[in-house]
Amino acid sequence: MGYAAEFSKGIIKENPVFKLVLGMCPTLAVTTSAENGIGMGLAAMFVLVCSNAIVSLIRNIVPGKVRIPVFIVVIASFVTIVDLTMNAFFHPLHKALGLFIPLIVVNCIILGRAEAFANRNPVLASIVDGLGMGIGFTLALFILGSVRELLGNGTILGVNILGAALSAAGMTFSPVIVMILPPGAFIALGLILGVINRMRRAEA
Amino acid sequence: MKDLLRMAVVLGVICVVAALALSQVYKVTKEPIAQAKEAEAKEAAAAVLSAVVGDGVEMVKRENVAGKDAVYVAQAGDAAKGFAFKVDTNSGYSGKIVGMIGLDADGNILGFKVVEHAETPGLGANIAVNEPWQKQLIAKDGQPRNLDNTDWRVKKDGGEIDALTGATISPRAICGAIKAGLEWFRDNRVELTGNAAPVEAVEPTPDPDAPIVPTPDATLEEGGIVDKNLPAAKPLPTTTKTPLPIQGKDLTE
Repeated sequence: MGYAAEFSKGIIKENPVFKLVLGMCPTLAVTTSAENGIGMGLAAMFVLVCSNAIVSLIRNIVPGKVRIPVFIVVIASFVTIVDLTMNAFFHPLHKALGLFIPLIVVNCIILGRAEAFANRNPVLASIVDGLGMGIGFTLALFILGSVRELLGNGTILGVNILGAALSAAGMTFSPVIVMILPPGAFIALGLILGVINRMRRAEA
Repeated sequence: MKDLLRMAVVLGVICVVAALALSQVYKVTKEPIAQAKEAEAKEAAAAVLSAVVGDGVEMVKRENVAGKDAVYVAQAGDAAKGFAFKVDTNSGYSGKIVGMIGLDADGNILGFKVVEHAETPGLGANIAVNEPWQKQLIAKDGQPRNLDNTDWRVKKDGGEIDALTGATISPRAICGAIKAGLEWFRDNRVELTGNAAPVEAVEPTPDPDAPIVPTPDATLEEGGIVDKNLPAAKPLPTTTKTPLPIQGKDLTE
């Protein structure tokens, strides 16, 4: 597979959230708004690219039986380094993303890609894979966050859309608060997965 | 056997390398993080005291005051116009909430800002972004809130602070933190302001209405008069109006 294909597969064909259904904890927990989705997605992408690169570098030294503990050490160290460095030198950014960084440790997309891809492929391909998967993850979180924010608050990225549209039509907008609450995450994700599967079937 | 040894060595080496890398990163970032936090605290203090900060007012940091690491004082000459300090609580929805509170010398709230929290984004986290909600913490009917004129509980608990949509726990925690801060200020006001507030002077005047009227704005304007007015004006509400039941009820929650 060429680099272009490695890159693009993570976005649609093997989208980590909509197709692989990986990393559900951060996906469901933080997508209360589109902005949070983007923040979590970008932070995860950064760690994913770095950990993919390192795992790929050491893949020939690490014995197969201890690879999972090694991956976990690498990923956890990376997350901590990112957390500290961002806190020290990009403090405002850290304030915005700080909540999500520790969550990345438990994001199984990172471990999943280390195991399924970086462990078997050269460094450059692994980095490209990490980029593609990261963008796919960010996109999925953005979509999920947008749907929930739109229904639960009437806005996307803080811009009032539904409320303004409805009041223009002479109706008042009453937010569906359950969409921002945890159950809304499952409802929205379930519906989106249904639509995507339907579209896939139609294609095939 | 050889395999086992190899596994142990590789895993061990990687852990040691990771630990070394982390300790180095920690060492390098420790100072900048502390500086960034300090700058942030200073900024937050200036923000919550923005009502009194201006020409001729200087922000002074006092360390280790009555159990607080730092108190920022807006100093105009000899008169302390405002005090800003951190309050924190562990009764939020997740983790610690740290806020910066700004008070004038009478213990009226000038400003409040959430500095650090880990509440749920979109719900509890609105304590840090929802401006209308934050405004009601500071003022009621145009008057600054303080320990005496406000029942520092959310409405659901019988108090007078609105909760947030889908989030009651975080606002409840904020109320508790502010109340604790106000009480801390009341208990340490003498040390902070430097003027004696004779508690004995309170008892002879049992009339609850008289002292409340003159306090609010007139005395605040002129720094010079504050010294004379304060001891008489301030302690009165504290003793006459603080309804003990409030404290009792709060403890049970």
